[in-house]
Amino acid sequence: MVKTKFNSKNNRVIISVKNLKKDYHLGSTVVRALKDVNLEIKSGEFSILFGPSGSGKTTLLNLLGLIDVPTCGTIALDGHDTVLLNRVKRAEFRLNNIGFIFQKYYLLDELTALENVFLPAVAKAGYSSSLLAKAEGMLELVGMKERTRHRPAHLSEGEKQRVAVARSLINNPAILLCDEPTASLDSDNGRIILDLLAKINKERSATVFLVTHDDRQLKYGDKVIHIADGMVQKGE
Amino acid sequence: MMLRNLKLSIFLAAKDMFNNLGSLVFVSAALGFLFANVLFSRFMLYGFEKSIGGLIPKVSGNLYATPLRGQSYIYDTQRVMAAIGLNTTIGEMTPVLEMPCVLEYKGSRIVTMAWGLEFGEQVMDLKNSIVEGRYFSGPVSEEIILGKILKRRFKLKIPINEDIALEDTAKGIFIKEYNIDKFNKDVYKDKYVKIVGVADFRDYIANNSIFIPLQTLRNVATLQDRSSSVFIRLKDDMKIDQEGASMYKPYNLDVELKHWKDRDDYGTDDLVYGFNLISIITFGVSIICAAILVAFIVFYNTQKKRRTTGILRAIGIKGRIFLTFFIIEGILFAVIGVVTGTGLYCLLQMYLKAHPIVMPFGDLYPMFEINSYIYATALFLGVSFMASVYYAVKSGKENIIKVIRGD
Repeated sequence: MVKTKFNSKNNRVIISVKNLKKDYHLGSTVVRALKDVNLEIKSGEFSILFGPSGSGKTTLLNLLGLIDVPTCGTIALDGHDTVLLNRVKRAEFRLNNIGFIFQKYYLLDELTALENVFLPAVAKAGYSSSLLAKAEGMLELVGMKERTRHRPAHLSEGEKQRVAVARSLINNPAILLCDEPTASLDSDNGRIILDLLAKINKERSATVFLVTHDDRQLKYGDKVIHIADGMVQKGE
Repeated sequence: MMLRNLKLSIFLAAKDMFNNLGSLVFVSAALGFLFANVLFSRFMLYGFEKSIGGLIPKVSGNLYATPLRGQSYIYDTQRVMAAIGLNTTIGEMTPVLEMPCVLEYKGSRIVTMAWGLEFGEQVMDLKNSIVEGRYFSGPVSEEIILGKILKRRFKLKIPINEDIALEDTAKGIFIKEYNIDKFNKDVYKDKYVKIVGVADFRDYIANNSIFIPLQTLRNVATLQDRSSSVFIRLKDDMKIDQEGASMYKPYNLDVELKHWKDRDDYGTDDLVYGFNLISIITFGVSIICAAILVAFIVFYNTQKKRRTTGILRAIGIKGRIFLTFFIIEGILFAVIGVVTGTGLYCLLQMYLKAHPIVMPFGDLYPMFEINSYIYATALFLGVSFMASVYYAVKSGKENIIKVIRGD
């Protein structure tokens, strides 16, 4: 049961999950991480998946991001059934349609901030100077214009996450998945990142799907989906 | 598309290597030394094999007559030669008197064998085997010719600032009987002889001996008409095997006819074959060790980049890009190893060629052999390539979440 706080940009369903289940096998024990999850997210919505640790938030996010495969059920992203895609097609879909922001940023240490940002763009379209300019523009958007040549080791935690946000946006993804993006940050930096995501959601009409266990962040969402024990509880 | 992927892979590999120069230098040095070791182990033994192989015998004829077991000499040499000579396939014959001998020169002594050869004989063909100095001046000249290896051994024995000079005099102590009785003066026969030349028969035993005119040796040892054996050379178109030698045995005479191979049955051929075998086994073992180490280095490299692989996959970068990235790095490691190793080996070879290990049978230094080099290089590159592909494909199949979390 999902309810939107306000009607967003359009009514096109961009994420549709039906009867989704995910089991993990730990030796002979089967852990049911997700139990029959159903939800729909419309294009341009800022949705928040809220729940305690171990509730299945990240599992659901990983399934939506196509970096894990469900035990059963369907995931349709922008009208495409993704469950039957092979590894290569999933990677291609991820590169073209999904931006991922991780809790731990996951930047490549050997690359500069600029290189980290334009890497997905180069993988998608090949190197060009316009892409470089676009990557610089992305870094400017997240307030990192002055730090483009710095490597992750020389950036603060908040700066790293901003670079990760810029990287997730470089290929103009239809969906932006955020896995507790402020969990490793102090409250000021956390707020900066959330404001940034809200700005991106509004200005770029990006569909943002954010996972958190922090109820202070719920105000950012157009829609809040509660999850507990692997089941979607309610929306508001 | 392929070019784009390749460019991106090269970019990632270059960035990674540039940022890990320390590791790169370490790995290059390790692989370089490893490759140099592979080359050195093969080429040093190859050099040894060639050095020994240079001793492939060209001495004597096809057959030789020898006294029956338990007897020291052929007593009626002329009668034996006459009987054997009836066989029309025989070209040349010569009696030989062999005797243990201690050669004393410039305060040093060396134990060797003295071969008494007929003046002008054409079976051993000593005259045409001389590489330094000259042949005997006559059939009873008190002169000796040194075998090439014996000369080297002697050179290593005499004082370092001295040299073996031709036409110098040396003392030969000839031991007439094998059953040495130190109180019987008849056993030891001393003779001052002039060193007039050096001969090379490319035979270890012959090159380790001295040669003296047969009559001179007979006079010294008072062994007229006796010989230790008769060397026989068959006519040029004749070839017989070891089994066929006994057919030449003269009827009713107390000698045995043997093939020259019987005399040389612990000889150079076997030695060369043995060293060749050792060389190939050593090369094989070191190349397998090298392959394992190369595979391990590639494995370590891919494991070190597990997180990178996970991140690249998570942001949607295709497996073939990091597969190419790993292949480039793996091949680059191997190429650096081959280049560094070849350089190290070349330095070592240059040094050893300038300062060879002096052995009695010749100078010893590594010798380059192209086939082994190609095998070693191909193996280095091949193993790197295969290991890179294997580990890249393996890491491409790992669970992305586990990989980026470092589980």
